[in-house]
Amino acid sequence: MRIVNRVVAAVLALALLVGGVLVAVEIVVAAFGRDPWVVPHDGWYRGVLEHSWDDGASRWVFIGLVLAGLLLLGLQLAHRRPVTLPLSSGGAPADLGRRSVERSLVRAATAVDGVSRAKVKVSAERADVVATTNRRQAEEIRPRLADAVERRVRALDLARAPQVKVRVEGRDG
Amino acid sequence: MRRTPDRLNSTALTLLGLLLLGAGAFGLARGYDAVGERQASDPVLGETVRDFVARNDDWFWPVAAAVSLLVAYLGFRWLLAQVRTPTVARLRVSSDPALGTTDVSAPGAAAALAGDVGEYPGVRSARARVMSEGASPEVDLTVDLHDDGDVADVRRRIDEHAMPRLAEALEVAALRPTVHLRLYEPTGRAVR
Repeated sequence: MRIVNRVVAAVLALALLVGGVLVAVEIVVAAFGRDPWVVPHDGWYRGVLEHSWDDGASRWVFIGLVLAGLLLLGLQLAHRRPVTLPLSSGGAPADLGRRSVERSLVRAATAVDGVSRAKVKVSAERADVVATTNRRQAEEIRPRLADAVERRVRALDLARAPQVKVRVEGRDG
Repeated sequence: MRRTPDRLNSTALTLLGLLLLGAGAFGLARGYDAVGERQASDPVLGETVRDFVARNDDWFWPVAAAVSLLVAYLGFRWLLAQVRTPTVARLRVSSDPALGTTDVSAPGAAAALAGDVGEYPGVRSARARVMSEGASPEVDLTVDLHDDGDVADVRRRIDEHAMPRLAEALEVAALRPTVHLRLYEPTGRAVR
């Protein structure tokens, strides 16, 4: 989602830059009594004189503005997991890359005897571990797995250790 | 903590979103008689605005041009923030009219810091950037650790050994460091 935000920001920033320069240039061009250079502002001027607020075309423009505004606000309100997790205070401010923590916890989980595969999702509050085993007694693995992942989390020196939630799926899912 | 444009983007896009939503909602409300039946059938560019511009023709357009250039400048800075991270090329270590000035290459100092940290047990590699100058320069340090590395021990060494050595080399009383750690398996690849 951050990438989307950055792309949208770059496009809008470029639009502001180009638009701002063009408007300033057009004002200077118009001051010398010349025809519009790039922006057909004379046509736009006629348009806003001809169209009223309750005109169909005007309403579509306003609906477009509302939708664009809602889209931008929705993009900001979308839930995002943190890129980094802060480490405990004391010394220089420090953080750990969240995705690298997830991979570390995957390695801790797959090192447990009986676990063939694991997926980990870490947020500020939780570390959700889903492990797959080939063993028939999937539940027997659960305490060992939780212990291994929790030990790994504790060793990371995080300011706020996420709560570890473990689920073990057997061969039959 | 990492210096990225994410917060700036979020604030700017929120403000822009509110502005667009407000403008669109006002236009729709006015078009649907919320402000008055007569106003709904007025042209979008009303007589009041046209009269105001005509009366103040002498200063209105120069101000409009200046505001447009300001918007363009803000757009330029915003665009720049997407692609550039602040770094310093040189740091002034000492300045004396009689003896001249001594500058230190900031990338060189950063490389020395990264070299120190790269030697610590459990560290796979390290990179550093000096991001500002002055009495307490900002230093951004990224450390890739092996999975079995001791996070607390590496942090302690950075605080007690690497940063004081850099501060001493730069002849400053203090630094403002930020440390970013990533965990790596011995032969794998970590993704932030």
